[in-house]
Amino acid sequence: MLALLVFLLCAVVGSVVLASASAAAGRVKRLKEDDQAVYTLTSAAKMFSKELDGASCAISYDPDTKTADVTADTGEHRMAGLLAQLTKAEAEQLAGNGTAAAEVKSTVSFSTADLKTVSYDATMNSSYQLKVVFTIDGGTGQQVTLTMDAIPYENISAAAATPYARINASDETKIPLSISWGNPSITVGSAE
Amino acid sequence: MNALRGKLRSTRGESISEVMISGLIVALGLLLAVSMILASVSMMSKASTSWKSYFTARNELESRTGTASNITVTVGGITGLTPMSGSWLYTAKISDGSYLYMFSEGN
Repeated sequence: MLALLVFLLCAVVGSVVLASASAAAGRVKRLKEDDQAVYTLTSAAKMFSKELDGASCAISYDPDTKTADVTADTGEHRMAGLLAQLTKAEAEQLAGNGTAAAEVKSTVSFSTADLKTVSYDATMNSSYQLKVVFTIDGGTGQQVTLTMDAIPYENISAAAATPYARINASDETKIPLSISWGNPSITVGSAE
Repeated sequence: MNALRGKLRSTRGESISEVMISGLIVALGLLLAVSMILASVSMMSKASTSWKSYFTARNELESRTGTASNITVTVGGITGLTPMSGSWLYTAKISDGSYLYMFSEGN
């Protein structure tokens, strides 16, 4: 009787240990998948940061049509076109003529099957601060966020330093304004 | 429970067949325990090797000392932007045969 009890006790303890070990093995497998996703997303965010840090756009605003003509130098910063698209949409929004949101949603794909395609969602707020959120597989897992601040190109007074005031100043003078982007910051987090 | 208590307090001896069967059960239990302990020692050793390999691979990636090959990156959504060549895919192998990857623009 006692022998049976000891046997039963050992069997129960052994089963519990094995069950927790297999659960831990599952977590380790998930850790590798999560790490790979973060490496891919961080790589994409660093590429955007490297391509956009120091890029600038020139804004020419026409008060009659309330449209903005935005040009970016894509010689050194190949992806500066993204900033031009977002800046144009945001400038027209601020001028009260915008219907399209300052947002670009698309993908980053690779010439190798070893890396999964990355989705990105780039937005620009009223301070022309750029925010790009990178995700894989529809955005339910890991996500990496890149933010870059807009830096006034010219030395202007604090009162005129807000982007909206700068556009108003442009209304009067029709002088193209310039904005450049810097202070990149990359943060890693889960979308859930 | 009363039966067990009674059995424990009983001064009557066990029959030879009861002793033999209980001895057999104890022997089987010990055999099982020893084989499980040996298996768990082997699994712990493999797990330790895997972790070491995994973190070595991570270090290789982050210090960019792993294998590197040239890739092209295509960024959609930007008007006029063509696929960008000149990026490097870094590869580091883990002991289970799988790989970790990251890419970098330039070196």
